[in-house]
Amino acid sequence: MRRYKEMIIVGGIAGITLLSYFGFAASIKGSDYEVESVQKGTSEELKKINIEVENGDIKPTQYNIQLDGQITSESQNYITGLFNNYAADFPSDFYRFISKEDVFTSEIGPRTYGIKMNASKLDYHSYDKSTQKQFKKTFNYRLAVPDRETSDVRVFYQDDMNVYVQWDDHSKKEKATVLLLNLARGKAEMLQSKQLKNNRERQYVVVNPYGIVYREIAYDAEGVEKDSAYYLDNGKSIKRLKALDSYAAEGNFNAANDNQSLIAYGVFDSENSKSIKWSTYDFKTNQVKQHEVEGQHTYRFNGSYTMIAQDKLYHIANINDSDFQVTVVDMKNETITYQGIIKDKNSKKNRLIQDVTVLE
Amino acid sequence: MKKFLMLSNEEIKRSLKLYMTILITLVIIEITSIMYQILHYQSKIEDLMQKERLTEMQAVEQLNGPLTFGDATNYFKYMITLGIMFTILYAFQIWYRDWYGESKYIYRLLMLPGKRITILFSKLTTVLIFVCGFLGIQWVIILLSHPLYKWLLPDHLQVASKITGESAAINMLYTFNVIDTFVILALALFVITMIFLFVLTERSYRKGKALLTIARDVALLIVPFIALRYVFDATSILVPNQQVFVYLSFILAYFAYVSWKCIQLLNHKVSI
Repeated sequence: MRRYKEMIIVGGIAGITLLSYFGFAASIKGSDYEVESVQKGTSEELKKINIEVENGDIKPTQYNIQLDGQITSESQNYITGLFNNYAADFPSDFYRFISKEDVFTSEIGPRTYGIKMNASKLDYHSYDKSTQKQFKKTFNYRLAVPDRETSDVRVFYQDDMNVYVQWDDHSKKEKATVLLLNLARGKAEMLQSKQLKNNRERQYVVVNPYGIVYREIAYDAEGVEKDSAYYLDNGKSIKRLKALDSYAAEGNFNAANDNQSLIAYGVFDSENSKSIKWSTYDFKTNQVKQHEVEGQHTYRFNGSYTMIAQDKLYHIANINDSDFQVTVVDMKNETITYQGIIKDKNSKKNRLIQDVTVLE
Repeated sequence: MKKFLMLSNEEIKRSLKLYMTILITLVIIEITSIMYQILHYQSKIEDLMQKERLTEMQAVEQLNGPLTFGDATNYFKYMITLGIMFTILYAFQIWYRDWYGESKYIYRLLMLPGKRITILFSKLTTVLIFVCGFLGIQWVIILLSHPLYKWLLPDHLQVASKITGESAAINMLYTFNVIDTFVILALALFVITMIFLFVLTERSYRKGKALLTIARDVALLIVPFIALRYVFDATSILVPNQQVFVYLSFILAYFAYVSWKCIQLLNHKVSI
């Protein structure tokens, strides 16, 4: 051993100090989650919901929590960091399409859309993360090709096989165009094309039998928002939806699944409340109605996550520094169909809900 | 194996004084730097309080808040850079000293019975052990700096932080993931092997041919990389995750080539 004295000294210093580092790393405890049901849902329903939680800790880890109790975690490192990217969520050919320079992409809930417009045709691709289904269609339609620099094309609403597209042209004067893509018949048509007044912007919300709903925002000369309102354009006249005036500044209302109403959530929720609230606007009565259900625990609004899928409202929020309350609300009957607590046995703080997926 | 252990020990023995001097210097500079940062911060607060008649809170506010652990260990990144520089220079020195030393040590090395590959491995092992030593000692200094920070700085001037503080360089080295440490060591191995190839090429050919061969070997790394990037961008044949696979495979293949070339040069080309 004496022969290797120097090697043992230097190797020993390196080995012991590095081992102390590895020992320290191994001693860092992550979260240890368990799901405790307060109000039970069906097992099939629970399997569908996947909650992604990320820690802002010294040792970044991602937890995938299913409400039926299946929990997996993955520590992030330099190798996984190379592979963890947006592309992994999509099939290869879909990603290839949407990553092209002349393709406009947009998202609604679990669906991602890609639209490419040529002079004589429109290529449409979509991918739904919840069903993992991809849809492609080419529409023959004469179009002015949008300039990538001055145009914006996005899908703003999909009603079964009808896809509604907003095309904004900011080149000279602001122009907003609505296209309808009928996926079943393979037909594209222009529903409206409007030249906007100076310093105006439109966000289309929904197209239904009552007309086209949009939110229009007016800016002052400095580009500061000075007024915004929701409008209904039925083709003959344009009506300001005054019932939605108090919500217009935030633009909370989105199309509901029934195509007869608009829905908004997170507007009236307050910090440290038990009530989960949402509002609906009914086109028939032209009125906004408030709804609420009461959960088991007081939750923190800050950092909470709400989404709507398949007529259900999914609400996830912290009830203390480390635990989350998950509530599934049947919006038609205004009842809680499931409530559970995701408990961290190690009571770790600074956890963030990254994503919630509801599989179909 | 015996030859490898003996040669490795011999390499370490020959560099022990230099390595230990650098290691101890780095430790002293880092510990001194953290003490300096803390004392300097406190004296700046006292100065502001006396000259501008501010309260302690106002003085702290003027100095952009309390001193974080990241601020106190601000000099560590320069020491880490020095450690990396030393490793790179040492990777050259470990070969050249054998040629340029008084006793032409390389002559004895090449004349040793057995495979010459052992010489390469022993030198590689020595540099890697030194890299591990730097990583380990730097970690211990970070561990020791925490009690020093807490001891020297009054409680109300401290900021709670994670053990590695806010420095990007320290957080890149110490991610508390074992795999990351091996990735860092693999990267070091790659760079060291490249340097070994340059030295062995320079020792194997005349000046002009050596330069051309080195340029070709560097081009063999860079040109395919640029070409791959261009093809991927232009054609979108592969999605990003597949591209990463191709890049990683290429780097592995290149590393295999560099290692093979080093062995070939040492076995057949290198001259005394």
